[in-house]
Amino acid sequence: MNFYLKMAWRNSMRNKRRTFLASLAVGLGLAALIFTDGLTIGMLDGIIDTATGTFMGQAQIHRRGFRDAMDPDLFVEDGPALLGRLAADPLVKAAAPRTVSFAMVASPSNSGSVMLYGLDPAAESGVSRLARLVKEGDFLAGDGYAIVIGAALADTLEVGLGDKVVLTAASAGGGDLAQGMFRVGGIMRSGSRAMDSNLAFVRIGKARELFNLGENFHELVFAFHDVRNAEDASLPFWREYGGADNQAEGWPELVPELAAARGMSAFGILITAVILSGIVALGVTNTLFMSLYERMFEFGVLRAVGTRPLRMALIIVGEAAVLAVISAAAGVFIGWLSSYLTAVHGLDYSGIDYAGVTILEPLRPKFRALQFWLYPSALLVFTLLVSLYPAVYAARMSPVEAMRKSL
Amino acid sequence: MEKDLVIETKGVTRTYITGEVKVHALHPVDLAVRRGEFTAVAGPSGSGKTTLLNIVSGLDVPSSGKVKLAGREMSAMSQAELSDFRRDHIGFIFQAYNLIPVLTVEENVEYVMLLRGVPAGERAARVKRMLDEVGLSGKKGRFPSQLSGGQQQRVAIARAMVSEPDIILADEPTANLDSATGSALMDMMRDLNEKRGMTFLFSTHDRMIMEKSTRLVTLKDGRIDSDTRK
Repeated sequence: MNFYLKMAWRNSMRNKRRTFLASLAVGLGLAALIFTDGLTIGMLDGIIDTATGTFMGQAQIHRRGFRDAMDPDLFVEDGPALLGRLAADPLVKAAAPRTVSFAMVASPSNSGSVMLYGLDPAAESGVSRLARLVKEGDFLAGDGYAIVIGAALADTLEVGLGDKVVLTAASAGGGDLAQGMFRVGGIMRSGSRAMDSNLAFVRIGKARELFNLGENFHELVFAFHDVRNAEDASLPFWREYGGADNQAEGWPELVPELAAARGMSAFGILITAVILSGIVALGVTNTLFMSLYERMFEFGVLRAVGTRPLRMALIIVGEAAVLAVISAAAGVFIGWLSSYLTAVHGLDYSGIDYAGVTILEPLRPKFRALQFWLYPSALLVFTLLVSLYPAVYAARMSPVEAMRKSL
Repeated sequence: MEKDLVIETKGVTRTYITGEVKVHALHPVDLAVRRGEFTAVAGPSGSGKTTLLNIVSGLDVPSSGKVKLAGREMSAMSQAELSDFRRDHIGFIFQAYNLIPVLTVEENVEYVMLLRGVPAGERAARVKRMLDEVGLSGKKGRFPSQLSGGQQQRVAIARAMVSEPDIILADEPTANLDSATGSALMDMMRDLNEKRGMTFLFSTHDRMIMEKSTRLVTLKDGRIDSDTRK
């Protein structure tokens, strides 16, 4: 082992308790950062997965203006051909068409307003997990008159499986009202009050027929093979499928609150890192100065026998490096263990809304490689930087003063 | 004659200023030490012995006057140059806490040579020879805390001598030792002085050291009171 490293290691081990406590304090800071980062990433990924995977899909194509006006005549321009192209695109894993209408749903007991979706159940399974949310009955597996509604809406309407409801909505091509009778084929329990109260699903064929849509649809939902593509606004893909008439958007444009939350969380992690860095800086500086003051005569002797000021500084920096390595090892282990245990058990915040999305699954910290190399490396570099203050102090120390102070 | 001088001070003074109080630790002091001399600087506490040693070694700077060591004027040197100069020309023995506690006996002796960039093989050979000379070759792997006070001072002597400096400066080297150990240590240094012609300069108020030295300089109130060669 290099002479000076050996010296740094032995000096660090001179007061094991102090080194242990200082390393633990710094290590806990690193562990907190790893855990916070993992939990934030895990939470956001979970929420994004919930938002995109449950119903919204990773990306959608609409006719320009449809999302604001919800006009039934604003079909996706050239929809059937676009669906074919999208299904054949190598970036795209699955695509499904949807019709979307405001509708009134009425039972013999009550009535309510819903957002009515016409879906292709087979295609839908590639872009959403709606079928899994149906807890009673089935997901549009029966005849064309089946309707799936949320449990809250079923309660309002006082209907159950097999009961009849009447749907009323504006049809395309003039705005005449169209009406149809459906039988409740499935009841959905998503955990989200908004979804369970306000959504209703019928087969797309029936919706087209009822609302005079022909082969058209209002929404083209799709999923990428690589979910990161949905966030990459620079992909030519968006221009290729968007254009003058249609608008192709990934989930960050569809739910900007969620994208903003991700940006805020990155800032939050940065703030956490800054605060923890301050703690690390104080801890390291304090430890090194305590060690330095305890050994003033020794430093005086080192200077007296010919140790250059720069070498004196490097001795201190070496001790800081040892402290940083021990702290990083402790921090990585504690951070990994706490994240792992939390990931196994999960934090259950189901039903709580965050950034416009209802949390449906337990939150679990997510590991990223950088938590285990970038953060510890940053700790090492930062500790070395912080150690420059006591190192410069040691380098500038007069040997006579050092020996006098210690006597 | 001039080239035999290892140390030469001319009109060296040192004044410490604490707040508004000025303490004149050294009044103009002229001292010349020749190569091979075994000199004790004696005097009561506060007489300026340690201050003089600190100044001639470049650990402290004089308020006025000039100091030459091994023919070189020290007052113009930077801190880094002074470090190198001490490393190459001076061996130190302090009264206590002399050694680096985290280094073994062997490593303590080796340290100065490491600073000088002496190759590993030569370092090992010189450390072995020096530890044999001070009778500690069997304890080379021990740490200072595992040695007696006398043994620690012998290691300090080995460290001071291993790189064959022009002079060894010893600040009350026997102060923390019992009289028998202190006397044995002085005999060892005298022996090395005679065998190798190494120059020693001690600060002391130990009568035994004064008796064993070949030249006795006494200081009183920061001035040379007497200078006697035996």
